[in-house]
Amino acid sequence: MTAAVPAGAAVPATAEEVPADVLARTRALLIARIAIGLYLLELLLNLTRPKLQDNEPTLTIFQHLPKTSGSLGRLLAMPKAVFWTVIAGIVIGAALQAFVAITRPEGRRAANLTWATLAALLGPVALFSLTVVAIYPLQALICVPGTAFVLWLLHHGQRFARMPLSMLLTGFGWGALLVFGLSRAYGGLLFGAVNAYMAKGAHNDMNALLKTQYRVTDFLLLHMEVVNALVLAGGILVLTAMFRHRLDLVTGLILGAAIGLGYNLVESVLFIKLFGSLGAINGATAGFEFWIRQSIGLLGSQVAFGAVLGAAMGLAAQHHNKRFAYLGLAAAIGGAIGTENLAPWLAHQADVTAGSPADTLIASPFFWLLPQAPFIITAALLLRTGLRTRAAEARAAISAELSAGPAITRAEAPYLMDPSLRLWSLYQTWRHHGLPTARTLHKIQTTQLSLAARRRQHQQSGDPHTHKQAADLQTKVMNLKTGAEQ
Amino acid sequence: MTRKLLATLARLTIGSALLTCLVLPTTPQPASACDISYGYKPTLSLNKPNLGMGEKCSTSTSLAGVAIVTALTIAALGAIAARSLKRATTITGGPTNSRHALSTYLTATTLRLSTPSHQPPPPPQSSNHDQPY
Repeated sequence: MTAAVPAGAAVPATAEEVPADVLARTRALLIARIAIGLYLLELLLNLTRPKLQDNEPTLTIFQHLPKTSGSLGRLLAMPKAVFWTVIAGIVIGAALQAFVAITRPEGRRAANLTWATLAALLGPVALFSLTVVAIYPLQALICVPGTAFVLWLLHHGQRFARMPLSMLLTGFGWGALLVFGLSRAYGGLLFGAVNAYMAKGAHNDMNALLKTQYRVTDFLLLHMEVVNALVLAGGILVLTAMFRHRLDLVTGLILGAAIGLGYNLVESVLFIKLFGSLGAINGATAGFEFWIRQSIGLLGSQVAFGAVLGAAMGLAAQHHNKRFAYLGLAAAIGGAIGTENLAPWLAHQADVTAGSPADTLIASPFFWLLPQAPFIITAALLLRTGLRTRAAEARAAISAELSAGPAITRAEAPYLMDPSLRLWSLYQTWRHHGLPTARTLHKIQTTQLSLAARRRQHQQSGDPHTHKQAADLQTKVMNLKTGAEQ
Repeated sequence: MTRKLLATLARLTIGSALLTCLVLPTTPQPASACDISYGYKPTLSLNKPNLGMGEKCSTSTSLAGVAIVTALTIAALGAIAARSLKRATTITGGPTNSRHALSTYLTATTLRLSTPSHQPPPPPQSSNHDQPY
């Protein structure tokens, strides 16, 4: 845990040689190409599937779902316009790539063209999530307080030098827009294709058809959880490079959890609306789904699995050992699939009256969270370990900063090293000098902590960009102290 | 430490994989509790009343649960903050010395105090707030 690596150190040799912005673009482009390649493959599978009925559309996603198609059918339904926008994005992205290959631009022009390609390829995928939020705005709105609270926890839970809030929010957006969007884009196509292969010959037998649907759902879940984990891991690699942030245990864990939180938000909106409206069949209500997904289980599911995966990637970067990342991927995928299968199985074994207060408040959440508990506990323990390491690093960095300049004085150092003292100083300042002064003090403290961390990162990595960032942060501290900046 | 962490993660992964392998062959399983996610597969019995389904997990009971969890979370955060402040007060020399400790710290930050204190600071005493470090 002592080895320090530069930003985006999951690929250490490359990270040291390639500028961070180029690394971020390269990673993002690679992820986009793989994602679109997989999408086209699934599109092809859906196109070439055996037809179950005579008048089936070319793609199953264009099929008008009957009212009795169940919640899964509605979960997978997609507006046609979104599909065609994705296709248009792929065509534009491919054209831009061809243009780049022919003209071979350099510098800023090359960077702009890469970002334009990424926007064309991945931007439309975000429409899947945005459509869900736009169709169900009330459900989305009620999920905001809980989600905002967890984001607040993730931001303040870092305790010492935090990742920029913009990075945390971008991670959240990655989860909400890209992880969910890609998962849904693949899911719709794959469900139709696999269903066609598995249900062939069974369409007259209702029992066989139902069993087939269940098997297809199992296959879909497996595929979905693999995609979720891979896109989440890709997000951590891209964002750490993009924000030039060192990838360690705490950064990986917090970022992974934020990406998972974004995914959970959009998924919760869907489940609250759709499962909530199918209470006669599945016993759920909108309030029940809200209770499970946005209250008692808010830190579970993709938040917990994302945290474990992110922490594993952070460890992989810190120890230059990719086995951590592979184990994290396996744990996140296995945990998500295990939860989806174990929770209902356990619930079936329990002798609890469905829908009773005991079931609603205790049994259902218990069986849902039980398979996730090892991951939630692991994430909490890893966070504690990471924060202890960070505390030691922060103490060393602050001590080093004392001799580096006037930004941190000897009397301030103990307060910066101890979160309890920082909280106390803010509380007392607010009490005796008012909120604006306390807010300025909070800004000074967070900037001082960032300065110490950046300076230490520069000393260890030699990255000239972190040196410039440290100089800027020092100026900011002095401006805040003198009142030149509020 | 690396080996320990690797071993923990390996155990977690193998455990999850085994559990998944054990459970997957047993699916599809009808669930007796209210459905939560994709993996819950309801079974309908046409010859039973209410298609063999139990009662719904009601919104009102669920919202009571939300209220309880919210109250417990706020209480836990409040307790953590209170404990933290108490610890800091002890470090800074107790309640009597806290004003002086704050004054010393704010002087060190050279922060311009927009709102003056209501009481004058007590006479300077020997500061011990950096002793624990």
